[in-house]
Amino acid sequence: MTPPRKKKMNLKQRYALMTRGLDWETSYQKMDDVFPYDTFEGIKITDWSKWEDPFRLTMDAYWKYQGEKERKLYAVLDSFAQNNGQQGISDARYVNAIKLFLTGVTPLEYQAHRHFAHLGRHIRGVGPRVAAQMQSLDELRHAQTQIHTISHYNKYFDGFAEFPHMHDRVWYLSVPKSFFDDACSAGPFEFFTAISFAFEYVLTNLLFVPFMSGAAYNGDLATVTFGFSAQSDEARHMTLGIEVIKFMLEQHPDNLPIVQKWVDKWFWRGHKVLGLVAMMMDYMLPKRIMSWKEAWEIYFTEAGGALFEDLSRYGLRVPKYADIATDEAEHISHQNWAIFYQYTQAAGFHTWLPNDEELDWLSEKCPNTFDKYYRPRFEMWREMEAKGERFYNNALPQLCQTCQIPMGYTEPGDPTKIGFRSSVYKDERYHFCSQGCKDIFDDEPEKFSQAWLLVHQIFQGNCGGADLSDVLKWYHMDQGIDNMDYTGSPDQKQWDAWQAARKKVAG
Amino acid sequence: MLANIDEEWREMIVKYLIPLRHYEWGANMNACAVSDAGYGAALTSAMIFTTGDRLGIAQILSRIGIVLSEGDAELLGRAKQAWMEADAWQGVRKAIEDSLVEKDWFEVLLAQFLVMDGMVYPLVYKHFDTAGQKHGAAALSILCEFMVDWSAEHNRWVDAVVKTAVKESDENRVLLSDWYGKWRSIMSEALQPQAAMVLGDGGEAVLNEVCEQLDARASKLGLTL
Amino acid sequence: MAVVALKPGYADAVEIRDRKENFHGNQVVYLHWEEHLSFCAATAFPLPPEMPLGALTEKLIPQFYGMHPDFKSLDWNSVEWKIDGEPATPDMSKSLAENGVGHKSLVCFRTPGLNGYKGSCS
Ligand SMILES: [Fe+2]
Ligand SMILES: [Fe+2]
Ligand SMILES: [Zn+2]
Repeated sequence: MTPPRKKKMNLKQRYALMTRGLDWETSYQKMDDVFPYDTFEGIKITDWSKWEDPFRLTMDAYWKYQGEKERKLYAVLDSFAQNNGQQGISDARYVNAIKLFLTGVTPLEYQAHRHFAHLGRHIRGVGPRVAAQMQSLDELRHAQTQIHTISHYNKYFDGFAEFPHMHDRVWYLSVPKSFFDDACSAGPFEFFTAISFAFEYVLTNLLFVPFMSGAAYNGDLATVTFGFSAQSDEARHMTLGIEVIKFMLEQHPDNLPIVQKWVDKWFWRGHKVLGLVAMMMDYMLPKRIMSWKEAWEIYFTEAGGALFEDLSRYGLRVPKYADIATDEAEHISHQNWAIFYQYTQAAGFHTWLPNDEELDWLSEKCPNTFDKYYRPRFEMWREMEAKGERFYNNALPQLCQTCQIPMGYTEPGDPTKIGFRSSVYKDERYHFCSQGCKDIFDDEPEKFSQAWLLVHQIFQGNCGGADLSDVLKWYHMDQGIDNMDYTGSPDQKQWDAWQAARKKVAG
Repeated sequence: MLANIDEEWREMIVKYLIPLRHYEWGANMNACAVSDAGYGAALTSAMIFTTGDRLGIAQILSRIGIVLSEGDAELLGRAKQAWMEADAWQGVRKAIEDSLVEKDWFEVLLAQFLVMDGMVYPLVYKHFDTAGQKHGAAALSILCEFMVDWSAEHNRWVDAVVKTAVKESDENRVLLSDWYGKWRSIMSEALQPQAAMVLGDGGEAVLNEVCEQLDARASKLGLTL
Repeated sequence: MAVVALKPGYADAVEIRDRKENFHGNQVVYLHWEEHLSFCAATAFPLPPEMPLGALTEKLIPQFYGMHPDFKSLDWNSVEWKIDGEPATPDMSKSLAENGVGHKSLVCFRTPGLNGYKGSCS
């Protein structure tokens, strides 16, 4: 007699065996000791088995697929190097956007790798645990491929060489750094909400589209290629983000207010960090893609609007102050570039004033604000430059205790007034750039009263000295080489020499 | 492909090999723990790749179980039951669970990747595999080839890490030697029923040989036994 | 609200990083010239609390704000002051502390009639 034919498993069952089937309920040690971090935040998970895997990727497929992608990437990088791709970009000013990326974003990829390893070990549910492990691998690969790609630019341009050192010390890099430090020092569910949902799902297009299309428009094939290579990973990261949010909200009604609070917080923090991208988009690309305001409309107002509409069935509402952030889309890039222009002496990339054509483009893109508030500022500085009196701010700026950005943001509805906010905690005063940043502090003053603010650190004597030259040394920034205006920089000299050589050949 | 394996040995494979998918899952968690808590990219980056590798190995073992089970989950279920309940597995499972709550990440690294793997891999993929050849299990060796190659490569990394740490200071050497002794005695005991189950009377001698070889490796790394 | 922490007693163990004692006898004072946003943010200075407030108008403000085209027309007698958001009439001969300027106080000054480059508040 032949035994009855066995029933074949479907893909979902097979994948479950390959992941959650491996797990067991420990008995020699308590599960709560094996997973000590996934309950203290107050998120209630009653049944981890309800988790639906949003993608099914076994390790053999993972290695194979990533290996192929990386081989392609390195082939492109080799040919970029062989063909002197660095000479084919739109203009050497463009390279400053890449400096900002390598010093500001790449270390975040690495931080994401480190902390997804934490989640990959410590989340009790196997589905999200495996997804976090793969993301940890992805983010490490992203950091590595970015460093590899950009190392080519480091051979020809300044400002790249000390990127990890700078990330830990430089004033504006403390903005993305503190953003991630905040997330990594939170519990695992807040981290998921902060990074997987708010950053990678809601705001990711506002980071990657500007940099990657910016690269494409400006002839930087190398950066475009690593962007493409990361894209398929990002699709997984995004689904993880949305699934975790839905899962938390489905598991217990008590989770909603906690998740909402985190969504509010991380939307606002993300919005402030992205101000650096806004400035890059509106001021640093010799060939522009679209304005920050347009990007915000497409990727936040429209896409985010639809998303929160969808999430409203779980009771989740649009992040607090989304309306204010939307208003700021017509201000933030100008305000940020103004900050960098006047502190160019302490920036790790070059600055410049927009030329006439660029000023007109900005007027056209920000018709409600630019001519009235920002054009005069640039024109004043241009006049001063012409007189040989280039405007430098020689005092240190007041920083926001939460986002750590110089407090240069204006009152909602009144761009002529700085929007000062402050709180007192344990008899000590704290200052904020916005109501959003103040609310975040007020919710966890214990945490944010410990913030490392560069300006105060300099005053406390922890940054190599009190003079600019001391601090630059401590930054590992070379005066007159890495910092200051593009005009007169070694980058410019090199670029002009390449252009001259080209003309000779052509002529 | 696995059809040539005789019935009795198939049963043995379900008892000794398939439950190791849970052991691999424990190793996956330990690698991830070191990647999380460790200090220095030389260690933590390598450990996240190991995390992926150990999940991959757990999945290879799961596939072998599914093939042996002619496409269903029955044998995986039995193997899991063995991992949870069979006397032969309880020592190993306890060692893994104890390592999962260990707070010192370097101890986790040493316990899992030097000691536990240093015994389990040669015992299973060399000695048990050799024993299977009499039972038509040549095809199984091919399916396990990755594990053999992988561990040869990984051991070089583990040895380099431990050697560096031992060399760093006398305190390190003493502490690491202590940990080595602790986990070595836990594991040599935990694996006795495994060796007896698969190799019968010859099991003890083989396990002793495995332990001696690990001791020799440990001495070369500068550990005091 | 208070922080939700894993470690018991976390809140009590917090080390406030920027307390006054960490500034070697100084206190941090922020200055801001209203309607002159070409200075992107208020500026920060470590100052002795016993320093006369007049040193702001005599030294610091000219040194750090003097390059603005409006500065040469500035008339100190018509300046409106705010200390930590409250209108104030500081006594220039008295110290920062005596004028109520504490650690991390914000001192704002407005110059009626002077509101930035071509009146743009820049
Ligand atoms: Fe990434
Ligand atoms: Fe990502
Ligand atoms: Zn802020």
